[in-house]
Amino acid sequence: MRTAYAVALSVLRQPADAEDVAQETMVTAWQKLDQLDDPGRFRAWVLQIARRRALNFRRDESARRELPLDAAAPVASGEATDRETLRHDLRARLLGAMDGLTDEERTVLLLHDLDGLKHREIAASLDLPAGTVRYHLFNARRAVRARLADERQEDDHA
Amino acid sequence: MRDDPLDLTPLDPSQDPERWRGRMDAVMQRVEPSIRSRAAAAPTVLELIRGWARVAVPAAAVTAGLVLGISQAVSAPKGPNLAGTDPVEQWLAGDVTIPAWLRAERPPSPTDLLLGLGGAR
Repeated sequence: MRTAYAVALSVLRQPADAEDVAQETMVTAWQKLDQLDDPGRFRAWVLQIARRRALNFRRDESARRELPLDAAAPVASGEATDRETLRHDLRARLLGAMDGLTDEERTVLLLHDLDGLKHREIAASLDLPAGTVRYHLFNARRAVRARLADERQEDDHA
Repeated sequence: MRDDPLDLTPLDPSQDPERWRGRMDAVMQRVEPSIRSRAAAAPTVLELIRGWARVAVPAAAVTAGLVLGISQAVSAPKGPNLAGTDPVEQWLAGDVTIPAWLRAERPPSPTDLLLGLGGAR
């Protein structure tokens, strides 16, 4: 389910929406398990479902929603509020730093650094050469780091 | 150039375990009926064995019949009764009358030859 979440997040860039899509993806995968010809391709199959669902979700939501759900700060109390606010802020920064990435770079980055898949697993799941996966990962990390460093500098100057 | 993994923990949904477990439970609740119906439709072990037996028993019977037939044909005793009309088989079976001229170790006379060609028996 985390893998489905990572792919959905790469498309939607909203954790709450990505969770919804990941949940729907797993339900669909279970219900359509009979349609899976090669059990060895299970992960790739789930990723395809997640991606398709996320794209549909984005298409439907963009017509409906102006303010993303995740942009609203969580409402809680005391220490939990601080922790949640901090996490929310970090999340927003990370997602913002990923904005400049291509869909493929973002997917590879999230599958590797968030879900913990190996290069060859990502390559097999996305039907890409392992070298391309490494290349996307390298570029994505470099771009995100540069963007975060720029933001930090801007914060320091402010 | 640094290429360590980025710390994406803030994006990890399992950082909020309760919420994440709730998501998992919701998935399980929704797929449970399909799991149950699939389990009900799946053949039991006995049904599987019965299915195999339906094919395996006739195949075993045919194989056993073939093996028995071949082994009987191979091990059947050979004797005079197997000799047919072939002169060599007859001779091997000891069923040939040796002509008198041959027993006497003399050349055959015209009469001996005629008798031999026309059949001594």
